[in-house]
Amino acid sequence: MNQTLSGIYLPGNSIIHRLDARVKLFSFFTLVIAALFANSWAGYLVMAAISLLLVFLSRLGVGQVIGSLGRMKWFLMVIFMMNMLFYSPENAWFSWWVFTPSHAGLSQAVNIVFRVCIVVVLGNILNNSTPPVELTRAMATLLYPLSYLYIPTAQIAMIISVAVQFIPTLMMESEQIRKAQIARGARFESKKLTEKAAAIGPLVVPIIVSAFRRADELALAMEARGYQCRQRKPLKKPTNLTRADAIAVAVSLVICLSQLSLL
Amino acid sequence: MPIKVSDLSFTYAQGTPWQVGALHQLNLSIADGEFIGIIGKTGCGKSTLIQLIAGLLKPTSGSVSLDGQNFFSAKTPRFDLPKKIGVLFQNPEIQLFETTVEKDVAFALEHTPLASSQVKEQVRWALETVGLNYEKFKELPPLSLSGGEMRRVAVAGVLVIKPDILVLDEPIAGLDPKSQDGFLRLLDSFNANGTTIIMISHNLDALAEHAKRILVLEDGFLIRDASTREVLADSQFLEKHNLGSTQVGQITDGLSKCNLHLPSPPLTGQELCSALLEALA
Amino acid sequence: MNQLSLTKKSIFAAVCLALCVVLPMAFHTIPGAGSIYLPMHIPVLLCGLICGWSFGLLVGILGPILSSLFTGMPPAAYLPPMVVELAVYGLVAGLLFQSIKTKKLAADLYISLAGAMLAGRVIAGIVRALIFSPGQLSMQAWVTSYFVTGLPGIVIQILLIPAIIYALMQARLIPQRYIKGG
Repeated sequence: MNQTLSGIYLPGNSIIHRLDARVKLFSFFTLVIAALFANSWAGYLVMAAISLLLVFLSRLGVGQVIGSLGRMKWFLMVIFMMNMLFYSPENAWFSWWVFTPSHAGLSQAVNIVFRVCIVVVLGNILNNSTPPVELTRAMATLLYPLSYLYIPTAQIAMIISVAVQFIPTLMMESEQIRKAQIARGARFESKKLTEKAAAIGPLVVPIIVSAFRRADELALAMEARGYQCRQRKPLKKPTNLTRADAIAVAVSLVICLSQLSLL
Repeated sequence: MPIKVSDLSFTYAQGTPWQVGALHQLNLSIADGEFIGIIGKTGCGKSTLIQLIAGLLKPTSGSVSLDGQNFFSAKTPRFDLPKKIGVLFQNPEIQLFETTVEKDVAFALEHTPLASSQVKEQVRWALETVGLNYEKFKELPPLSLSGGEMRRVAVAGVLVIKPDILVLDEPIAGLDPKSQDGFLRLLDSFNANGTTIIMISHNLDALAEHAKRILVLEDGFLIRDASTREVLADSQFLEKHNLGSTQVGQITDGLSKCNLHLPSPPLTGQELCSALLEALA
Repeated sequence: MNQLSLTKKSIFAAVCLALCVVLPMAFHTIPGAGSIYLPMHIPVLLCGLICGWSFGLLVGILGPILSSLFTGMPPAAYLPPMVVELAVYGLVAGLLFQSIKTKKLAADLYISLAGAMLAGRVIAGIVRALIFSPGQLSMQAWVTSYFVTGLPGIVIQILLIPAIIYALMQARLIPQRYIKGG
């Protein structure tokens, strides 16, 4: 199970563990936005330092939080290579076949990999320090204002988290399917327009069918356990936010705004 | 030598990788008609090695050659290679996509110059080989079959080319004992007809019964390449490298703890039986 | 296709969302495939057809964002017009497929797909011309970028997506729309 992207909840009593789930989720999103807009070395450095600080504050252990980056190393490497090799044919160092590595591609690749790492580390801290029940409740609470527009926010939160967990599995499966079909002599390229559709059928049809099969199994399991998709009002629990919660919100907002102003 | 692997190295910095496992300086050769088992822990490079042997990955350095012909130096399409290679991945049923069983099984013959009557004959043969009735199944959509039948159709889709070399990645994982047995016997019959079999498996008992030679990989290095008997009856070696042991090996160990020492460590259940009878006589 | 439970539709939508990230990556090993096959359009259209317009809309909005976040493609700058285009695909495919019942599955599918792809391109073109890059997009450039270079993609998807729908029906993962043979 530890091959999924999201971490599991590890009980603890650190400052981060004790923060309100809504606050953590809010800070997570503001810090993710900050990471997305970080566009300079200074910005990267700040974000990396903050992530490390959070790792230590949460007392989860560097191995636990960073470890999942190790499991994702091939995935990160693919992202890196794809961005570097395919980014733009302009100003390429050289071009060979379809590959056009360039300086712009390299910086784009660093950019993307950095962001993914930060998002993964922050996501791990969030997941490792917050019980899943509280987390989904917090997600539904934060999206709740949208439900006045008749948007089923709890369901959307669930769909996103399931999708993120499916990505690595589906990626591995599609790679196996691609190789299996090549071994059976498939050629995914074709000159004629109508044959192009047929040429990629052996790749696309099985990837989608097996993805839906996994989804079908998961949905059955969820229904068997009595899961029902319906919009619930967030429980009006009189949880007062502590001073630490207020500070966390303030700090993450400041970081986010400072990254935006660095643009 | 039909398959010759020389100074083969592979790292994932180059192309499109998403699984673990690099290889370092591998050398080995495989003769026609061998039955080879590959063992090693998850991430040791087993899958990478067989994908390199099957020409699905391009080596970082070194080469794999087939009857002296390098996969990637000559730009020959797969089916003009001197030997036909079939590859069977774990859970092969996910590769089915066509609208009928017949078309799906025949997919691998699409780019070959075979006449349609010959294609049909070979599809019939492949389906019957995996135990499916051709007339009954040929028009059915493969995706509507049961899990076990889909697996058989997928296997037929690989066997249909009548491979000279069959490469398998954990083919019996997830099968019930009876199907495992049937599948291994099918491999034996192909092997008896001259097909080279190269198979990754965690199931040491199955390898003990069927494979003739075992390759052991650890962290991308080939640490042992010897006969099945030499490797799988060497319980110290297996234990040292955390590879588990065969059931026969466990029984032999248990017996020696009760001071019943068998003269030479048996490999298969049959050998264990006769050794026991001898020791007790 | 309203026999699917809400839970099932949600999980199917989730898997389509994941495919918005995975399919473009699977295609990147085929030279030039990304711009010809438009792989991200496939799960969005599928989701609209199978799960209905609301889920199609959702996956159309979130798909490109999630993909950009995970893989850097599309680059953030291209994101807004793409989100609009894909959202319209998912929405219109769902709406049309729910309302068009010609008694022939293939006809329903072709009409819904063609309508969705047309609507998506028209609206994305308008939005681009008015909001994202006003004044830069002439009529001719729009026709070129959305129809001429995208034409192979349109044809391929009209051929491919019904095949996928049939495959999913055969695998009994989604319900049959019209029961054959009475």
